[in-house]
Amino acid sequence: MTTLAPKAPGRKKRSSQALAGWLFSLPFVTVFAVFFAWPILWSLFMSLTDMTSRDLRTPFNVELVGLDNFAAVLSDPVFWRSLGNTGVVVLVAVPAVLVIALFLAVALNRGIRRGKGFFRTVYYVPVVTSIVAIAVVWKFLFADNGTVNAMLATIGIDGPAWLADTFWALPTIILLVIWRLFGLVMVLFLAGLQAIPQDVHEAARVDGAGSWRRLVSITVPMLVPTILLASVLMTVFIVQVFEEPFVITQGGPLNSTQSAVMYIYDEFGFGQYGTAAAASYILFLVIGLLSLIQFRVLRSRT
Amino acid sequence: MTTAALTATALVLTACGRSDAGTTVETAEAIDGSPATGEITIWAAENEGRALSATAEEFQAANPDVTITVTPVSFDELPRKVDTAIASGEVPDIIQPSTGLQSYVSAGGIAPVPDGVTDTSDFFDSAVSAVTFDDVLYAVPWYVTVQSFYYRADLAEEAGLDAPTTWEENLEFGAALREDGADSGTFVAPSGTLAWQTILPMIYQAGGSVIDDGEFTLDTPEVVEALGHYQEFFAQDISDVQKVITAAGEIEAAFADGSIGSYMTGSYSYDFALDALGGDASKLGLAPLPEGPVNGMGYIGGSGLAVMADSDNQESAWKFVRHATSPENAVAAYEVSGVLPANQAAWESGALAESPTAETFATQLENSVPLPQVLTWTQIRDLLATYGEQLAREVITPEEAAAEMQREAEAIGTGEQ
Amino acid sequence: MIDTPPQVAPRSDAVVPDPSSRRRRGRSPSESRGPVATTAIYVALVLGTIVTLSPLVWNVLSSFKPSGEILLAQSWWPETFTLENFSQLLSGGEFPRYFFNSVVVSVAIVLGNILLCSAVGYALAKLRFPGRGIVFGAVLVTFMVPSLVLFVPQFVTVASLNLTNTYGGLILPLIITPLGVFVMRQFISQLPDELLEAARIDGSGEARLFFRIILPLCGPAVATVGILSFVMSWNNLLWPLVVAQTSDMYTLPVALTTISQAEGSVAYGPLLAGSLLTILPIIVVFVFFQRYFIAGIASTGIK
Repeated sequence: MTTLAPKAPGRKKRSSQALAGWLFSLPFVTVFAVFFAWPILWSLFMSLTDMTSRDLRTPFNVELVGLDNFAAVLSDPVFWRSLGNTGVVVLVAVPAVLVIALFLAVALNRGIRRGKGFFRTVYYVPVVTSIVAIAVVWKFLFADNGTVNAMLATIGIDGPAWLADTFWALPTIILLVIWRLFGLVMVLFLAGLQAIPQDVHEAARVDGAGSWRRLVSITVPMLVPTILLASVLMTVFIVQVFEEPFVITQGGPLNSTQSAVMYIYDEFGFGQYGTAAAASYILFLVIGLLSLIQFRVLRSRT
Repeated sequence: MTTAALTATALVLTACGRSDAGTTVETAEAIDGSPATGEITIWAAENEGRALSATAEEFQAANPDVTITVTPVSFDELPRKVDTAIASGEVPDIIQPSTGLQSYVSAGGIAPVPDGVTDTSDFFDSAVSAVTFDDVLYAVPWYVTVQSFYYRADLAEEAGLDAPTTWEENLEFGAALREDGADSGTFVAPSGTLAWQTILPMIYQAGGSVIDDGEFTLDTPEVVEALGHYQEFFAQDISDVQKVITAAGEIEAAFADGSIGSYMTGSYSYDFALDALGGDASKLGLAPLPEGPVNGMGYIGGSGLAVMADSDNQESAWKFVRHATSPENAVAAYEVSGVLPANQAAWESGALAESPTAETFATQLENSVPLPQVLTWTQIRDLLATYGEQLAREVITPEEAAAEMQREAEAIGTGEQ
Repeated sequence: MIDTPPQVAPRSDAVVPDPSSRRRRGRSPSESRGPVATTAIYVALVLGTIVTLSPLVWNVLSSFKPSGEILLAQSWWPETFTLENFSQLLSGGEFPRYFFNSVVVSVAIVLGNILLCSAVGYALAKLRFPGRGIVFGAVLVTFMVPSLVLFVPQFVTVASLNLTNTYGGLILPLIITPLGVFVMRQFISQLPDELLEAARIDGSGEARLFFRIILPLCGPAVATVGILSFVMSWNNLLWPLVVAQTSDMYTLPVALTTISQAEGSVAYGPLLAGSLLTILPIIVVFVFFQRYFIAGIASTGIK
């Protein structure tokens, strides 16, 4: 990666570059200032006050409570539980999405001749589905007497009541997260694969490398930048997992599927804007830390 | 930032308590009988909104200078939408506030009901007190929901059972239907909204309360007794703890296929249950809630119609509210949307009076109280649901649950300052 | 979660995909491999298809069931076949409007993201200007703030700009995605500086440089940003839910959650029918354009 700054240009060039730089940044900076910077400062202020939904019309008519909200969140076992659940979802879903997507992308790119378009479409469809409707489907498939258990029964397994079971509910949610995202990453990988020059493969084939060998020693290494980018994307996406548990289990049973963002949403729902904002900033720090690690890796690898 | 914070502190020091900052009672002018004009926008849930749309059409015919737009809003997301609307001042004219009314009032978002709109003696007392805060009326009662005991009349008859009238009978009834093959003889929700909706009436029936005179009363022996009764359904395996209801309508569907023999919930369930049973009313039994040691109290739900404080067409909005809450339009709403009128006169004649369910619902309505009037109610009810779930899964005793709920409720506070 | 695949190949500069490298156009020929391997791949793909599609098949079949039967979930095939759900859904005549709104909002968000993110991405990657670090810092910070926390302040901002219940209000806060900026910056910084220097020596202005040279080379990054912002806006529920105040501004997800909700009930039949009608056009578009959609992504690089 060319992280090096452009070669130092002459003075005149530099000033015209500065102008161009600002002009190119201006639209972003404007939108950022209005819709992000100001709201970010506002919510930081909220996190230090006892603001509730009742204070919305008079937002400054609140009491400063220092770090009380942060202390309250950090001493709430439900918050830790939701953070832990979120961690499990990220740890399982991110690698799973990447592996499935990689397999499909490689298979569709070079593995088969016929039906590429069909399979691409099929695997992309979950990405555009509506979570509200899919939630109904998921509940049906994983009901105690649902399709999944009926299938397990044919091979002699007595399946659990997936979504009502404190152990199995989270894996069932994770499965939905994976189902909804792998198609997205597959498309990213397909784009990345097509950017790999054909000649490299042909050269390797002439050298007598088998298809597995070429996959491992050419395709995957050349796809590393895309893979890393996808892993950052997926981590940031999935760490904010919310809709799936929200519409299916509402965080239950016994908080076993409560996610960190759901915790924040609940606090907002209770009108506790102060605690909600504090919890958000704690999650923000966690995401920041994760991203930092990934950026480091990304940088060292590319 | 610092300036804002300092301003905030200064304001807090000078303000005399902010919970009543927005609830100043303005002496609004009485609403007369002249025609309504201008534009009126209404936020209502899809189902209830259909009834309002029908009423609006007829209202517009009588008041040619008025245009009414009814916007359907997701029932679950209405509070979020109203909160943000109040915060920004970009509000509709009329909302169906349901049980969120109190928090919108304390945010200063709701206009008090002026003279000339309604006569509160027309309505059930409990419906009026549900929309009254600090002796000020903030909405006109529109429809009510009450709770009842629903059972499969055909299955009960086969088993030679009558509808239970007491807690003990209920446990026997449930156990008997369970024997006969239902997964849940009496279904009691093990989590979520339905759990607190089940536990709260039991607390009343045991003679307990959630809050009394500004103090939480969740660790009283009465509450412990109620929680014990709730847990009993799971301890005796009368209700299937694995049956987690996450979709509205699931209970009625399971009721129709016989895996749930009976359940307790709001009056809105009747039509869905009948629908699920293929319209066969002979299978659907309806009875008042089984009585606890003290009484057979339930709580009253439903909604009034409220006018937003920031509405710029309040006068016409009130005229429409007055129109929509009249006995004949309340009956019309019952016919269109199946919601029970809060107006007593609406029960005396017409479609509702002829309905076989009216008597049961009316009996329970006489036996109902409003939800606890505490600003932090959404959090308190979440406590009931959370500890209800732990009771259902038998990881906690009623005594422990009561003590924990009291401790947490005190930490949450009443929201008053 | 930082699953970095083992580095197998000897590191070389060739690892970085060089968009300017010459490649053959058209379909990449599939490997010549044994029939067993090919069959195995097909079997895996077909199994994957079944698993992937079965929830949707259930959705399709159930949208022809009466609501009560859906929740009973006895069989996949409708016992009572009905079109009631569709007629109920379409009876108000507003569904096309919701669809139109969704398309307008999503297209605007996608185009806006591609343009704004690539512009600032270019500035960050290739231009030297005072404050560059601050701009990039802003991007990184925004990237990490959970969007939920900004919800209320963003709404108040939109309201004070008189943008509630307008397309502007639905679109503007989503028109930049920090993630998008990051992707563009990463990609553009991989483009060789010599390319720019050469154009600058030829006397190209920065705007011309950007539109004629940089943007055409950004195919994969543009596609990434486009796909991400499309998915985010197409499925976005919470934001349009509060910004759209009358039903003529509702987008599909808002309309779907609103469908036939009442106290204690949701009509699942119309909901599933609506979900089907939401997905179908997208699938059609994808089927028609996917060849360009994916293959085109990379081929932009060689022009």
